[in-house]
Amino acid sequence: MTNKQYDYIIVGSGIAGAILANELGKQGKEVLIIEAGPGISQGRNEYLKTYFEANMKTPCSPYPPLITKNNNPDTPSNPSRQNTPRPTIPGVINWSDPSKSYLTYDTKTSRAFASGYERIGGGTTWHWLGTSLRFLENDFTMQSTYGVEVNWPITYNDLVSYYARAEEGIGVAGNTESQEAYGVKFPKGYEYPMPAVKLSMVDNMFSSGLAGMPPVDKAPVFVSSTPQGRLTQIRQSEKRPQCAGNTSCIPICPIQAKYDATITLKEALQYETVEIIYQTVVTSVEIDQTTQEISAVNYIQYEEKNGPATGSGSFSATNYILAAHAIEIPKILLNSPNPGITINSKLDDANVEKCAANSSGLVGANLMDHTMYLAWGLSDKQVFPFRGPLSTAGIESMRDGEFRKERAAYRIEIGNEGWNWATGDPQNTLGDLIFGTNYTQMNPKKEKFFGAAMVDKLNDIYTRQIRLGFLIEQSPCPDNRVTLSKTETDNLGIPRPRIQYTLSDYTKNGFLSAKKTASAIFKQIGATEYTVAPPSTTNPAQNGTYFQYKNEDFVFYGAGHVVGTTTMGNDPTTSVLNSDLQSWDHANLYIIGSSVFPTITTANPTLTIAALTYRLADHLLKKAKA
Amino acid sequence: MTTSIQTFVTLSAALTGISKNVLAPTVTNLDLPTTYFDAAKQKFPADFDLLLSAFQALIDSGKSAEDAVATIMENDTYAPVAQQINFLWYMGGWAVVTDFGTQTQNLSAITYQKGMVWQVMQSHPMGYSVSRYGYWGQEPAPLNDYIGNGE
Ligand SMILES: Cc1cc2nc3c(=O)[nH]c(=O)nc-3n(C[C@H](O)[C@H](O)[C@H](O)COP(=O)(O)OP(=O)(O)OC[C@H]3O[C@@H](n4cnc5c(N)ncnc54)[C@H](O)[C@@H]3O)c2cc1C
Ligand code: SF4
Repeated sequence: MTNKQYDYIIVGSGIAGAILANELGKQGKEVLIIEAGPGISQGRNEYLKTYFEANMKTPCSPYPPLITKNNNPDTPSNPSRQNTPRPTIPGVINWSDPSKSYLTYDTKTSRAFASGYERIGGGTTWHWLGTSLRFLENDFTMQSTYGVEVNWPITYNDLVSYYARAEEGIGVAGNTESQEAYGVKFPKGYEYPMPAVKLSMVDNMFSSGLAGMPPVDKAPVFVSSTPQGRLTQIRQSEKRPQCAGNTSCIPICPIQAKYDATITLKEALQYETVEIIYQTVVTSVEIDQTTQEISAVNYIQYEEKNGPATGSGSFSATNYILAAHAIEIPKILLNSPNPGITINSKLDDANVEKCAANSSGLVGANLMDHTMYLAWGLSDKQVFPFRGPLSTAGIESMRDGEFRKERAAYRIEIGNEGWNWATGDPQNTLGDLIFGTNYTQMNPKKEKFFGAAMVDKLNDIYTRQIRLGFLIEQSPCPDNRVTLSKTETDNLGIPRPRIQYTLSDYTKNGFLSAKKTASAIFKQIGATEYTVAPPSTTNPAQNGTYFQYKNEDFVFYGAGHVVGTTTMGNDPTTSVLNSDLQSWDHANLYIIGSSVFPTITTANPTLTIAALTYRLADHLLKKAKA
Repeated sequence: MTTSIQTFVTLSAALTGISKNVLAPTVTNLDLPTTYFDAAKQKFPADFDLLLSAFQALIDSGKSAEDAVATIMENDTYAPVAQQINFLWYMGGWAVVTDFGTQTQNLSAITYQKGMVWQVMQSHPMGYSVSRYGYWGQEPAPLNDYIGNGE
């Protein structure tokens, strides 16, 4: 394998890498996928068992390497002993301790980055939720429409046909009318590949309760069904069943009714010209100093999960595509020295690393996430949550408007999982009632319950729990960035990320608005709100994600949407890639994933990642023909 | 079932508010009462036996299981053990009560799935459902279908 010259090397086998390999494989191209994590053959049953056994059922809990030692939430695994460490919830809780948190920080100047991803064959869609919304036209033109943030180098119209391909590939279930109602534009007669997912009782309560509600903070408030990557009909070609409502889409769908990238990866690997090599971590790219083309990728291999390195070397191809997600991609580039680089950055020169693709100085910069505001309460009637997919509807009507000149916009996800995310239920309400504590505010008199009285109380609380999650736009800011730690490494000796991350006032104004909107919504539907944002000193676990703004206490949560770090643009001095996702510096280097987004926009990223991947495949195939 | 396991099931039913035939169904290849009995004995080597005999003595004195449990819950030695047993039935693991909520130490993947907490909310364990597509749009069966009617 080692001496073979491939047409394309793709680093990473997530949805981006898998779709690209599949499209290139279809055209007979010689493709090598290099994947850091284990293969996809052991898979689902083993991961599911680990999830059932886990004491801390967070998104990363089913997957290797395990997030805690001996299944004890108080002893997070040490990332310096792992070959493929990644950010996890125990890491966020212990963000200031590099022996517990993969990401490292200057905790005096930074907040914690609250989102994570997976490093296993098939990537992070193993634990995504499946929400597959399109971006809005104005999401691409924030600078020209509202005078804030930046424009994308492409528009909604450039992506519209690729959105359709992405929806077909993922098998999105949706309803165009409910999307058009708040401004999404489809070609005439367009239908989603699957009928929309049935709304939950929770959704229906919100939908009827909000009918006729006046606008809040200059935006209308109404419910839309969410287009989502879970099957509402059997997909025979993929041997996948209809969603049965197991209510564990994050972290794992037991029956693969939810799309994940292993489906596309398996399809790609059916082509003879597509190869994959697992447990092979790419460390850097090699740059030909005469041509400034990439000449190879370097890797380290391991055989056992957290065992020692068992080999290293390099692979070569005509073109290289990094699809390793938005924190690992800049890590690879920053670890690739490029003495011959011509810096033409608009940043202070002293900061600019002479490394791959970094003439703009922006590799690693503009790190973003949808920072989330959570609000929760008890409905005045039973709505029976903890049933069905984790979310089936949302409030999308507040994603766009003139208010974006002043504050971040948001979409609101309606949860079907009661207070599972908000308070860690069901265990915390149960614990409060049994042991006479009041963590969830459900037992203010701190009584101790048992027997029939406890049953009545638990049933009454659980069946009325509701939760809203506001996905708030975070503005791009070059100071929010990934660099390499000078002291911390993983088990293979690869430098770990160092993160600088804060929220802008534009984003914080979005939090103020979210808080106001949440309370107005709960009032409108007759629910009692129980949202609390404890001061940072009260709960040390929230120390890294707490902030105060205009005398209000907030805790932000991560959405899992790791965006920015290698943005595309029209100007080589202010972006890392051109609109074809090609490095401005190296003609045979491409990047795909949410790291290329210039702004985070108001929708979950993955459908757009998929659309951009189909577009990149077209570009690469056209270039190969020329 | 041995006598002590029978006593344990009677105690558990009064403690959890869930019917004996839900806690200890006759048709099953899974013997949760014995699993939990053994686990409790191991966790509370002295107090568990004392709790069971105190409970049995109250029953023998003519008290109903509900009244006997109410008396047990007034007792500082027995109440903490009884609370943990109650939590075990509901979550399938032991509770660790902290200043910031309750953590669960699962006994196993199976006990997680068999937790009564999913019954009391008229649902199914997260990650394991035997219902069909779309059930979430309709009301579930009545509570008694999940927790029994006192038998
Ligand atoms: C809890 C959660 C819920 C989410 N829900 C949604 C949702 O509902 N909707 C939505 O749109 N998005 C959602 N997301 C985001 C979504 O999961 C990601 O956007 C998407 O999976 C990214 O795909 P990718 O292919 O770019 O990267 P990944 O899927 O992360 O794949 C990257 C691959 O690269 C490999 N890799 C990494 N480093 C190296 C290296 N050095 N060498 C070789 N290989 C490497 C990794 O092992 C991995 O397989 C969610 C995320 C989280 C965390
Ligand atoms: S609700 Fe269940 S079956 Fe449906 S996608 Fe989620 S985990 Fe899979």
